[in-house]
Amino acid sequence: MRRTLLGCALAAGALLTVTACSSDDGTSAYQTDYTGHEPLHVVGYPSTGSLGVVQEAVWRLADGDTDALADLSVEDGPAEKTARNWVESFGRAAKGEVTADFYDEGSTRQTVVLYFAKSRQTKEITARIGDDDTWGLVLNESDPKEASAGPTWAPAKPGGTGSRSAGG
Amino acid sequence: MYDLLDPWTPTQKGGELLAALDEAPFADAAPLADQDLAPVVQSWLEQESGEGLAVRLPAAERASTAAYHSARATDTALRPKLEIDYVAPTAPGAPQDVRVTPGDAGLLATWNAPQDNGSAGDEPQYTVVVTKADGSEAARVTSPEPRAVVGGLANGTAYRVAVTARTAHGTSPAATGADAVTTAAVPAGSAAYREIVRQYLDARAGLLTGKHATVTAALAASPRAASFQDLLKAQAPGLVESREALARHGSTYTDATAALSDVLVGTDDSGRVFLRAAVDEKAVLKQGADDPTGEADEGRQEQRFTFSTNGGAPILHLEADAPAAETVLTESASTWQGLDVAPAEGQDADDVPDEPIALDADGFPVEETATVRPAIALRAAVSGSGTAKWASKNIGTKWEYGQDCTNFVSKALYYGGRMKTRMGGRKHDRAWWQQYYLFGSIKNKSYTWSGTENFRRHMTKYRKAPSVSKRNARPGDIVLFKWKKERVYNHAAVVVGNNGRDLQLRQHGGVSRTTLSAAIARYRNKANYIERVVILRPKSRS
Repeated sequence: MRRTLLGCALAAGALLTVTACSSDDGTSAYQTDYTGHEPLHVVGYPSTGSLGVVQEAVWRLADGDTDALADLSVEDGPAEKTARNWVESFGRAAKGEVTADFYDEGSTRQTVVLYFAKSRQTKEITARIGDDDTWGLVLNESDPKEASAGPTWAPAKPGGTGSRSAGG
Repeated sequence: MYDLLDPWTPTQKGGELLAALDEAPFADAAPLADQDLAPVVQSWLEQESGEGLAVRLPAAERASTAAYHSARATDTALRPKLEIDYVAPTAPGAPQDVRVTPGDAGLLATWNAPQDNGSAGDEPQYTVVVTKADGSEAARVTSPEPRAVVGGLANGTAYRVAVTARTAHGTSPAATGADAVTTAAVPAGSAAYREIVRQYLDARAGLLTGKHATVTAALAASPRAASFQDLLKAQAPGLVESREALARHGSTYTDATAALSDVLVGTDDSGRVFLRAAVDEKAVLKQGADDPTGEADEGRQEQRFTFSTNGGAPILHLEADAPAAETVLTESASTWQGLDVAPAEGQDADDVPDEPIALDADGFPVEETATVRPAIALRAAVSGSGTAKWASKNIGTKWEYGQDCTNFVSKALYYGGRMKTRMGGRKHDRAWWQQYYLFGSIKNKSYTWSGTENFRRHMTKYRKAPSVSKRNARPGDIVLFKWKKERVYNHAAVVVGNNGRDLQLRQHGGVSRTTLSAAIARYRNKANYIERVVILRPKSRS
């Protein structure tokens, strides 16, 4: 039985460490990306869609590829400027270990907090499914100060509040 | 071309016809031969009502005449024709990627839907057959979801699993798991793990209701606290904060319970014990002393609890959404829904005025005084109770899009509320329609049917749907949400109840059964919080 690496990663649970899956040409781009970056550590309740787009966003941050990061934007807006701000603030740290904490549930949208171990920075992002049924990110932070700020509400450690929003 | 809203009798005069017309034409002015009547005929069949169509010349051409030909026209070339293409129905394809996980006296089978549902528009039902090594059948279960827990099996026995998909048009070939799996008991027995999970869920519920004021108290009340104290301590601040935020708005949760069903305990590939179960959580949200009964808040989720061992004692260290953790993508991209809806580019919510309800400093709707007048009674032709009933009854209906919220709302208005369709170009905000072809296997819908911002524009500009306050909201109204960092409204839900303090909502996207306060609370304090909420009252005639 063949399957994609992402599928194996999901099946493996929270820690995305996969070695035993075969692949085909359709997944070679994913494999290239996956093996070319640090594996993303995941906490919380991702869906296949939210996990895939957050994984890709972290890779693009690590690559410093602002155009590809901006392409993940799910709607019109200052995506390019936001992508430049994010790469500037988090690009270096994204090359190291990153943990993504997926809050609540990810059927159509999800709040995700990224923890960059190297710099001890945190960053809150929104992943959501767009009107064309592909997952993307909300990139609407043209102000560098806003783009580099960490969430005040998030716990110090990933999963620290059980990946559930208060009241949600 | 106009849809007739009232029955028409031969004794009525032409002038009376104008009063029976829908307020907007069903279709734009175009030569009659170019009109596609399939959508309106489909709506008559689906809504089980249809009073007919009226054709009116454009104002500038009222002096001219229009002619039509019947099936008895002398010139046979002028007679209307009905052409029917027959397409033979087909059975679905086989399920894909069957995976089997053994457990204690049972197993979990998961799979992906067939790439091809054949002629069926609806999702198939699945049948799972478990056989022993000698080929004899050990168990058989059916499931509407692409997964099933099978219990009642013997331990230390090898089993194989085969899955078939069935629709009204036939049954697929069987798909089988790659290898046989062998069931096995877990150390210390399943009951111990089940008890730990039960106590953990009870302790969590106790923190939310206030039965336990602190996490220390919650742990002290649980004999198996040592097995889940770290997980509960991590969640406690959020639960307490939630309880206190609700209390500030006069609300409290009571009678919170959690029940486990379809339980499977086993050992995963890493040697860790897992407990997988459907968790039914129920609670009652009471809003002040004048709300003795409260509103039921309930949800069902399949959860996977994973344990580690620390010197022999099991420690519950991870709780995850089971279907998400067990999903395996099919190699074909066809598991992703097709690209079917895209909004017009360059939209902004401010392009079309809205009248959002007032939110307070906590982000919750401002409490209104009881002196607020009810909304003016409108000559509503959309049945609010019908919309709400449909939404409640069909909350589990199949998602047709990755983002299905507005499609769900439109179906509730159409099938439940009997809101009339409007013809027009697929991308135009004036139109509101859906079409299915080939037994539903091909769908085509106006952007306003499935896109939230397009829907809001349609309702506001073309149906003159008024905005109502939270207090005046009633079943069948539609709630639309806009997030701070997004340019347009991106989520819609149906109101199914209003107790004066909060609205009960049904939605596709997020928790299916929720309240307005809970929906807002999820994003409170986030950078991308809900900044605007508008409540629209659908009507079809003004």
